[in-house]
Amino acid sequence: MILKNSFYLFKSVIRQKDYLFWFLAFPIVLLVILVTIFSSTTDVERINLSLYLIKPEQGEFSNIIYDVFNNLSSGENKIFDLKVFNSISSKDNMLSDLKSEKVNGIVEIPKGFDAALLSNFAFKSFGLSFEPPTIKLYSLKHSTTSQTASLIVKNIFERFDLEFAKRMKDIKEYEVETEIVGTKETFSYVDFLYPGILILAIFFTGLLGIGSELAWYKEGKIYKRLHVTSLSPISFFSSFFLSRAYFIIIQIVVVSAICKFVYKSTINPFNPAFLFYMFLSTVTFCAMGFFISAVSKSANSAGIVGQILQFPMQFLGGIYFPVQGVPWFIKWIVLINPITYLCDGVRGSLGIMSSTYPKFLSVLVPLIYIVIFLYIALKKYMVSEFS
Amino acid sequence: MKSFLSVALYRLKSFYRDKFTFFFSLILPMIIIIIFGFVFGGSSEELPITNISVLKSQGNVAEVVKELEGTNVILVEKEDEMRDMVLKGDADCGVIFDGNKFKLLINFTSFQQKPFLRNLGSSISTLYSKKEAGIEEKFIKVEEETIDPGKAKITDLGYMIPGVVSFSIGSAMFLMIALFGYYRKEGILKRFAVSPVSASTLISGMLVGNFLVSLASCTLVLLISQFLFGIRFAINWVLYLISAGTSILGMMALGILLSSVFKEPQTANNVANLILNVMAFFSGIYFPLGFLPDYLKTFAKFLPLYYIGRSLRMSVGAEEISMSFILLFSLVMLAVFILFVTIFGRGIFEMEEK
Repeated sequence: MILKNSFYLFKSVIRQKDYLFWFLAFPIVLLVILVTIFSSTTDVERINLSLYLIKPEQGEFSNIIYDVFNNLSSGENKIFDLKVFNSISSKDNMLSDLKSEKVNGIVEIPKGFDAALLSNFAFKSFGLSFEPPTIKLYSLKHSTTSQTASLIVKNIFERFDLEFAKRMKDIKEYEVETEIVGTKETFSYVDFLYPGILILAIFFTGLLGIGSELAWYKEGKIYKRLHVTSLSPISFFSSFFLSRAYFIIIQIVVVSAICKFVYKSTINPFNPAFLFYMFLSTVTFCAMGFFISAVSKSANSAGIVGQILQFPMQFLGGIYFPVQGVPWFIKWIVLINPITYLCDGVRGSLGIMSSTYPKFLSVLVPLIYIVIFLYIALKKYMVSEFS
Repeated sequence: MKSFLSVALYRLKSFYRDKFTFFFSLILPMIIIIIFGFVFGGSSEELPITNISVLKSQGNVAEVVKELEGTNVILVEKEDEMRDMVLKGDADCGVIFDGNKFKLLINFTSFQQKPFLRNLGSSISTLYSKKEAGIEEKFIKVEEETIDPGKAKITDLGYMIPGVVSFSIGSAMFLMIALFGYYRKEGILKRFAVSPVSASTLISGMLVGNFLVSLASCTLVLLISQFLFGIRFAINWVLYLISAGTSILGMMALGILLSSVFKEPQTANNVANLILNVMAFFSGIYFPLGFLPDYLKTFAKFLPLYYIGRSLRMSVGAEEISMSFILLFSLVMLAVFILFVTIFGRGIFEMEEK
């Protein structure tokens, strides 16, 4: 009976285009959008920055600077699109171009730069100090591209500085190794996002789907009508939750297939830890939806409660990016959010990122929520609908 | 005139009673501003500080790091403590020097926000090498001047707020779907067809009511966030009202188009929601377009939210004002609105009359 009803409820849900759209297609659309955006932001090679170089003189050092920037502006792996100006007369126009983001940075070599640098060398070789010549760099506030251009230009001049220093003394250079803490050496954003998007899809099904649907049954007095049928409340709810479990399995299969075959994720979806956290997420969010339906007076109220909860919970649960180092009045939302622990637990278990929280918390916190949600929801339903 | 005012007033009242629309127009943008504002910081006008963890035993490395602009050194006893600190985001990065090599440990969130944080390693290494050789002074000094794109000196969060307001404006689509979709489905328009109220009075009354509530909502979002985060916008109210007003009309036109194309209002609602979400991600209102591939930058220029965001930024002083941009964009939005209302708005009503 339970199985038969679960199939019926499952069929009725997959016939709803809205349901399929929001709980199956939308998480996939989100996955595609986020991978497109965030893979681009971490891929340095794709960046092509536009730069103006103001070089009013033809001195030796000015020419060296020009040569370096010119080399970085040619070939397949060029970083800059360089435009050189020999006078500062059109500086206002250049700044206007910077403001309208037609250019990402302006480097100005001042008049008398070569002479000043030569004097600096001469003074330093006698152990005297001399005010170094100043290169002026203009960048645009609030523009990540411009700030990036500024950082690269500063790095280039640091390198110049070191090369000049090497002409005066023997300088030992040191290698630099960079590690993004907690991630695998071959970190990919798809691997990071994949379990997160699955948790999000399950979260949507539980919070927005189950919450509103069960509240709708309550509003339509369906539970009261169950009294006069042979179907017990336990059988009804078992069939209902089983039908949603089938749907969640479809969500997992479809998202996994896209991540594996389209985005070449390295995560094994048959990994026991992965499956365990998917199961734990399913139970947690189904219980949450059940709880919302129990405390809401109507399907509309359940929908509003779900909408209000879903934004802070998804953004402050570490689905799209780890959430650390936030102020305390935001931190508490992170800490009480079950998504935080589920994401942290699954990523930690799969070796995508080191866990920020102790492993037992990744299981214990969702379990506590399950117990609380189920206890309150059952009690509420027993009193209001089945007494 | 009396019936026009009654319809407009009715619409004003019903907006605040419709929890769903109220939520999308006012509450959601505020939630987004609060989350993004506090998570991504940027509410201070000062230079963003990078917290760098250094081992206590490596005082010479700490000295070098302190010399870098915009850094704050946090001393720790052991490497494990440093790793834990970086992992939890208490430090943006950590630096370890083993005598031959520098190791830069970066926090993932910090790296996502500032992808070029990895360049810090080479800056530290260069400065350390020079210091070790006894060369303290620079041969070339680089002086950076950061230009504000607009009249107002605002934080990164302030720069983002007009984008979130444009998201609120985008929700004007839902008002039109409610009006032309749900009202039609529930037979409300049919009932009006047999009343003495003419089609033009009903539609114009509803449109004016919707327009006013949308304008009030987005202005409220702007003012509340300005107050909440202490941002000093330089609002040019005339330009703001032109930009926001015509943008609302344009988005209402899109809502009317969707109601007309999709007979089922729920489908129109879903499509509108999807369009709004896609636009929010690719219009450069939350994430910078600079790093996106060229095809996505081109795609952004086909999205109305890109232009709404820009014209709002100009009108609040976050971007340099281009009168031609604002006026041309406003004219286009107005023309689209008049065209769509004339074609689809009347069409829907006449369909009901038949």
